[in-house]
Amino acid sequence: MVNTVTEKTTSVVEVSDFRKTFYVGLRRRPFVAADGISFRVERGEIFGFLGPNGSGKTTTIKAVLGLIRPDSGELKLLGEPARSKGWRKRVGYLPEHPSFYEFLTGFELVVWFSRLAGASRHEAEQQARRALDRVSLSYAAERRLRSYSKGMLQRAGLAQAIVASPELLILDEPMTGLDPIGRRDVRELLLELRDEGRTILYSTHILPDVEMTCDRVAIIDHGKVQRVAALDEILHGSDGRVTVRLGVGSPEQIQELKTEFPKAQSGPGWLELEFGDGDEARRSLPRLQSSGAILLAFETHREALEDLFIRTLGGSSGATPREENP
Amino acid sequence: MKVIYLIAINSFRQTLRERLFYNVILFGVGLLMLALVVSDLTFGFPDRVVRSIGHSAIVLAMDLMALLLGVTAVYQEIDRKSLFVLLTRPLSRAQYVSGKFIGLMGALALVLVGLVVIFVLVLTVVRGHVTGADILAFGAALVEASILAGVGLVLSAFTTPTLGAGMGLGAWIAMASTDNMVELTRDQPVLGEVSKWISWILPSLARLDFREAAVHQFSISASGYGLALAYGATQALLLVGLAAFILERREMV
Repeated sequence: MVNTVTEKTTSVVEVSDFRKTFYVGLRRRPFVAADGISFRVERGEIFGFLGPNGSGKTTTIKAVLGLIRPDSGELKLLGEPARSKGWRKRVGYLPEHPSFYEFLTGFELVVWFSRLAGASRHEAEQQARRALDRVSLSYAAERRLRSYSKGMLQRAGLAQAIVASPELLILDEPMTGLDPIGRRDVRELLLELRDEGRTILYSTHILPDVEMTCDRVAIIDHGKVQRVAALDEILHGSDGRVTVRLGVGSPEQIQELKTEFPKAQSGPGWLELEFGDGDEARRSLPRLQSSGAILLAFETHREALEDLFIRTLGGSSGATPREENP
Repeated sequence: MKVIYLIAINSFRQTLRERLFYNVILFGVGLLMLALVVSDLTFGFPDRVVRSIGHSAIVLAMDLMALLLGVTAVYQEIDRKSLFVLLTRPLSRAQYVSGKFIGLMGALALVLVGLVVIFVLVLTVVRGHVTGADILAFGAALVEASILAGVGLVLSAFTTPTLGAGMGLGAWIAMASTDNMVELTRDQPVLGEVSKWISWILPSLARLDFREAAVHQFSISASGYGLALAYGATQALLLVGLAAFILERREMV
């Protein structure tokens, strides 16, 4: 479980009422990519930016980095306006599906980005070796990028993002293209970087990764932030529902109880019932026990991130289809 | 300056790995070889034939290369998203465009040297020798190519390589013929006025054309040559500035 960040002093990323509409096609059809997005990322935390495809995650990240102009709203990075140059030596960025210069080796690429961030050649080479080591790519450092697999390119992209020891890392879908071991490595790297005091904002829709790494999350859909919450709150909070598990002797007894409680789940020798709250469960218990059932478990329901995600997006993201960003 | 240098070095290396680069070099070499064959078939002045075709071949190859590599330069980096990362580093879009331009010009200069070496060899075969006018004409060809590279960068900052190549070829033809157009339409009130306007807006490549002087061994005045180079360099810099201006306003979608 992730440690809770205790030193939350300043906001590293501040997005306030960000709005952006793109005009697509010959008819200049409006596409609202961001519709009043507001959130803050605090120093030293890992902040997950969750949402289905086309929800506005990448648009928001690009606006935060000054790559696109907001129609309205205020976006700040490390206290500086998004379009300024003041923050650029202090931020590392990995875009979604990066594809770098194929003729460079992994080492040359990372050295080059380090030098662009201001390091001397000697410093850059040292930093590049460290960065490649951290993303487990040292073994292929001298190979040209054209020979890299998708996962290796993703790691090289991560290496260039962390090479200049940035205070803030902004990663757009960093787990994309990685195999399970690669994903585990990246998760561990993110936690290490957080423990070093760096702040990380990353977008994803791979929820187990978020559960294992993030301190807080924002769920975004249709260009709006639907919810911002601490992960501890989500994973440890109860939604009030109660699950009661009973031991039941015979199939006839199970059948009898299922007639009375049609939503009950059952198996050989057991029956499981879900109640809206504890009082309702307690009221039903005497009836259940009078039928000869034995109480095996009485559990309050803990909501998983996936439950929250699906519930926040109104059942399923597929239920409200949305176009990809232009 | 350091970031411009870093972008330029990368752009230079990137250009040297473009397949198009070698295709156009082959095209230029083919034309130089053609000059050798044609000179063999003509009576008298074989060196003049080689010069005429050779200079034209080199200018054509350089201009084509500058334009076609220019129109892909920025677009390619947006497409592969490497530009997104670059623009979050401490460099401005103007520095980025300047670096791309310098790198591209470095690669073009290298090609020019290679083509001139082949030209000299071909000339030697027909017992000719390189003159000062040849060298001056080649220098002007590089400046002409820098204008085409600038046009390519401008187009690359806002459109795709395919559209950019079409528009660039159109602009190339117009730039190569503006002076002639003004001359031909001098007596026509409307067309003459339009031609004049176009000649003011578009750079004139004819002013950098010293091929005739090189082929016929006319003398080239230092002041005329200097002015022509200054004109070409200014036009190229203005185009680089325009490319930076357009890119500054472009959204990195």
